[in-house]
Amino acid sequence: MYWLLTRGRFPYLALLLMVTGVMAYFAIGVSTERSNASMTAEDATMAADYAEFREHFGNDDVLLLAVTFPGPLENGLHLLAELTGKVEGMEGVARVMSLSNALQLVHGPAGAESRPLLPHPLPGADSGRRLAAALDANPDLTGLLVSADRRTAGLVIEIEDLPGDDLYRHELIGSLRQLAAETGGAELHLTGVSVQKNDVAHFVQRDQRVLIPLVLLAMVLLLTLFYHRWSGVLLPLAVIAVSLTWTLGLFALTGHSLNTITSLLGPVVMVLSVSTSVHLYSGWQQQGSSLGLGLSALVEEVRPLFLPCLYTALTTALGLISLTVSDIPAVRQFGLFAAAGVMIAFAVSITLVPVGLSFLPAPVPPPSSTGESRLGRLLQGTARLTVERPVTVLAVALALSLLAAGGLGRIRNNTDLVRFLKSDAPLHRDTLFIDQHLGGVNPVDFTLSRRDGRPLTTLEDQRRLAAFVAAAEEHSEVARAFSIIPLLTSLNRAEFGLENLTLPESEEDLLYLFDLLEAAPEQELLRKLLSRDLTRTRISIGLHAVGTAEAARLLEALGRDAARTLGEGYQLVPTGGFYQVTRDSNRLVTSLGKSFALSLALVLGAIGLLFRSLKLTLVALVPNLIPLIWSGGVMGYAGIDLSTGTAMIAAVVIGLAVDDTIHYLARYRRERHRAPAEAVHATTTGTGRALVISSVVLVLGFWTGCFGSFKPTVYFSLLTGLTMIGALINDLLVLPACLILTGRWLPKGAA
Amino acid sequence: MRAVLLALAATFVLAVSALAEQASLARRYAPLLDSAADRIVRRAWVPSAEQPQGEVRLIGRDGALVMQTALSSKVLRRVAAAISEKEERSWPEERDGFVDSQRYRETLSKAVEAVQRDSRAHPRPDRRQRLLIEFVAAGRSSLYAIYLPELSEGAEGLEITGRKLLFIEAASPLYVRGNLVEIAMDSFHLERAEAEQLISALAP
Repeated sequence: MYWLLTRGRFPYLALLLMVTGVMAYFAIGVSTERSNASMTAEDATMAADYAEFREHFGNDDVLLLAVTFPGPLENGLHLLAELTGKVEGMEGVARVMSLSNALQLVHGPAGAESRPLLPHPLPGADSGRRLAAALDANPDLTGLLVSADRRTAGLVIEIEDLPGDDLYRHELIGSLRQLAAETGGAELHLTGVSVQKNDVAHFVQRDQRVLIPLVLLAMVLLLTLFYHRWSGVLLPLAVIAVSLTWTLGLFALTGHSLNTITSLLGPVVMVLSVSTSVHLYSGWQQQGSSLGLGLSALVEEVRPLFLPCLYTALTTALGLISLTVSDIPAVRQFGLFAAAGVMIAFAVSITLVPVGLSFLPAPVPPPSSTGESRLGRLLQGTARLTVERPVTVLAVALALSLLAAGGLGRIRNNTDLVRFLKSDAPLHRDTLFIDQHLGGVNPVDFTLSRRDGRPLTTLEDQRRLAAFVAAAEEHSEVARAFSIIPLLTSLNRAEFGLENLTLPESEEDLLYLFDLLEAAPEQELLRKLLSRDLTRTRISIGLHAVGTAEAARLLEALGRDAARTLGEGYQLVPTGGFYQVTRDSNRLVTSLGKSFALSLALVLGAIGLLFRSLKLTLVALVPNLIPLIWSGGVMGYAGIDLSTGTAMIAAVVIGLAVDDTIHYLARYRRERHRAPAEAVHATTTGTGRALVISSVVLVLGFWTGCFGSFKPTVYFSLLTGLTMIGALINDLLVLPACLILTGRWLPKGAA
Repeated sequence: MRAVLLALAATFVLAVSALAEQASLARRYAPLLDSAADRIVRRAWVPSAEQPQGEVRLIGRDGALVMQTALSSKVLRRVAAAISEKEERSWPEERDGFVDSQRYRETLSKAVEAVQRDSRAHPRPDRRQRLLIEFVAAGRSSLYAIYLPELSEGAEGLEITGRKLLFIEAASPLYVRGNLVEIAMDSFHLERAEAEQLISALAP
C-alpha cells in the first residue's frame, strides 16, 4: 500500500487508464440482441420439438396487420387490396394473406375448384352483399382475416426465413409502421413475435441511453448532497466509470449482447460500485483529521475497512453469482457479469480511492460528525430506541413480518410479454387492439401424430382431431384454433357439392380428399397444416393476450382435453415461443428457490467465515430475511407477479442487504471493549452515517431503473430499492436490538 | 315392349359396330401403335417433378412422331378434367380441329370411366390409376390412342410394362400435329416457336 501511494501512484493510474481505454473500446461496441433467444431456457427436448415442427411445417414467423375502416368493410376493399399489394412487395415478405387475395373452394364441373374469395376487379354496387355471402360461406376466415363485426380486416404476413440476417425484420417492421403512418382513411395496428423482439431490442437500446446517464446524475446529486466536496463526488464517480467500462467491455469481449435483463447490467454495476468508495471516503473524512494527514493515516484508514469491504463485495457478488443456477441464459449472464462488476469495483475502489485521497489535503470533518445534523440526531434516537426498547423493536418487526407473510401466498407466476411494456408502447396498444378485434395473438402450436407412425388419413383420426379442436375452442382464453379440419370440410363440400361443412362419411371419400390435397398446386400453404407424408398435422391454437399464469392453466386443461378426445393412440406435442415462455415461467419458482438457497448459503458461509461465530451468523440472518419477507408481502398485496425480473430480487438483495450488517457487525466488534449497550450506541452513531449514505445511494440508484421501459425491470428496481430500505431499517433497529438481547450470551471474543 | 326391344337391339348393334370399327382401326394402324422400337427424344414429369401425376414423352417411332402421356395419378378424373380444360382453351370453336378435339374429350372421358371401373374391380395399394394417351403423327396418317397401361417407376421416369388398347381414333393431321405442339409447349415449357421447331424437326 505504501508503494502504491508513493512511487506506484502514477504507474498505477497510467495502467488503469490504459486498460480502461481498451475496455471502453469494447464497451462502446456492445451489441443488442434482436432474437430474444437468451430470454428462454435452453431445453434440448423443446429445441428438438421446435426443429421438427419447423422441418414439417416451415417458418412460423408471421406478423398480423389489422386494418380498421371508418365505415363498412366493403367500402375499404380497394384500400385493402392496395395495402396487400404494397406489403407483398416489401423485402423480407414471403406471403401475404388477406380478404383481397384469399381463396375459397367452390363446387365446379369437375368437383372442388379453388377460386378467389372476392372477384377481380373488386365488385362495385353489390360488394356488401357479395362480401357477406363469401364470408358466411367461409366462416373459418372470421377471426383471422376479418373481425366478427366485419369492421376490421387482417393481413397475415409471413416473413421470409433468412438465418443470420438480424436486420431485415427490423427494416420490414419499420416499413410496415411507415405504411401505417402514411395510410389515410384507415387505422392500422401491427403485432407478432418479430415485432415483439424488435421492440424489445429498441427499448433495451433506449434504456441504455436513458438509465446510465440518469444513474450518473443521481449519484452526482447524492454524493454532492452528502459530502459537499468535489473529491467526494469525483472519486466514487471515477470508480463507477472504471467499473462500468470494464464490466461492459468484458461483457462485449466475451461475445454477449444486451437483452431485457442484461440491459440492467450497466445501471446495477454503477449503483453497486459506489459502496466501497463511500465507506472509504466516509472513513477518511471521519478519521483523517484525528489520525493526521499523510500516508500512514491513509493506510490506517484503509486497513480496518479492507476486510469488511472485501466481504461486503464478496457477499454481493455471491448473491449475484447464485443467479447462474437459473435456466434462463439472460439471468445467468446478468448474475455472472454483475458479480464480476462488483469485484472489479472493489478492486478499483480499494486502490483508486486511497491513491486519489493521497493527492488531497487534510479532510474537513463532515457536518454530521458534530452530531447536530438531522441524520446525526436520527441515528442518536435510533440507538437509544434499540438500547432501551429492544423487545418492542423486535415485536414490531415480527408483527410486520407476519402481516407481510400473508401477502406471500398471493404472489403468482406470470410472464406477460405484451403487458411487460407500458400501456402507451405501440406493441402493447396494437396487440391488445388486434386481440380484441381479430383475436389469438399468442399462438401455441401442437404437432399431432399417431403413435404407430401411420398417416392421419382415417375418419377416426379426423373425428378425434375435430373433437379436440372443438374442446379447445370451448376455453375462454382460446380465440381460435386452426387445423386441417376446416380445409377438409370445405373441400368435402366443394368436391361433392354438399350444402354443409362436414367431414366425409366414408373412408374412401376422405382418402380421395387427401389425394386431392396431395395434387393441389397450393402445396406450400398445405404444408403449414400437414406434413408431406401425412403423418403429422399442425394444430395452432391462438390464445388471447393472456399471461403465462392463465396460459399454464389452459395448457393443463388442453392436456386433459387431448387425453379425453384423442386417447392413447396419439401424440400431441406443444411447441413454439409462447409455449416455451409459459414453461419457463412455471419453472421460475424452482429456479428462484435454487438461486435464493445458494445465495443464502454462500452469504451465511461468508459471514460465518468473517466472524467465526454461529450465534453472530444467526443474528446476522434476522435483519436480512425480514426485509425480503416485507418485499414479498408488498409484491403479493400490490399484485406484482413473479416474472423473470422480479424472481431475481431475493437472490440479489440478500447479497446486498447483508453488506450493511457486515459493516455494522465489524464496527461493533471494534467497539467490543465497551458494554453491549454502549457498543451498540457507538456503532449506530459511528457507522450509521456511512450505512445510510451507501443505502440511500443504492436505493436511489436502483430506483432510476423505474424509468426503464419494461415492467419487470421497473419492479426489480423498485422492489430492490424498497428491500434495501427495509434492510437499512433492520440493520439500524433489529440488528442492534438482537445484539442487545443476545449480548449477555455472546462470548466477548465472538463479537 | 317392342320399342324397348328395338332400342336394345339398336344399342347392341351400335356397340358391336363401334367395337368392330375400333378393331378395324387397330388392325389398320397396328404398325403405328407398335412401340417395340420407340426412341424417347424428350421427357418431362407433369405437371411438375415435385407433384408428378404422369410423364409426357416425345417419341420417335418407325415413321411416326408420338406424343405419349403416361398418367399415374390418384386423382385421374381431375387430371383428365385439367386436360379437357386445356383442350377447350387450345381448340376453340373457331379453330380448325375443334371437332376432333371435342371427340377426343369425349373419348378421354369414356377412357377415364373405364379406368375407374377397372380400379374399383382391381384396387391397387398405391391408389394410383393409370392411363396412357398417344398422339401419333405419321405422314398422312394421324391418330390418337388411349390405353389402360401397366406402369412402373424406373430410374429415369415411368416405364410401360404392358398396355391394353381402350380407344383408337383417326384424327385430322392438323389437329394431331397441333396438339403435339400444344402438349410440347405445356409439358416441356417451351415457347410456341420453339415447340413448333421441335416438332417440325422430328416429324416424318
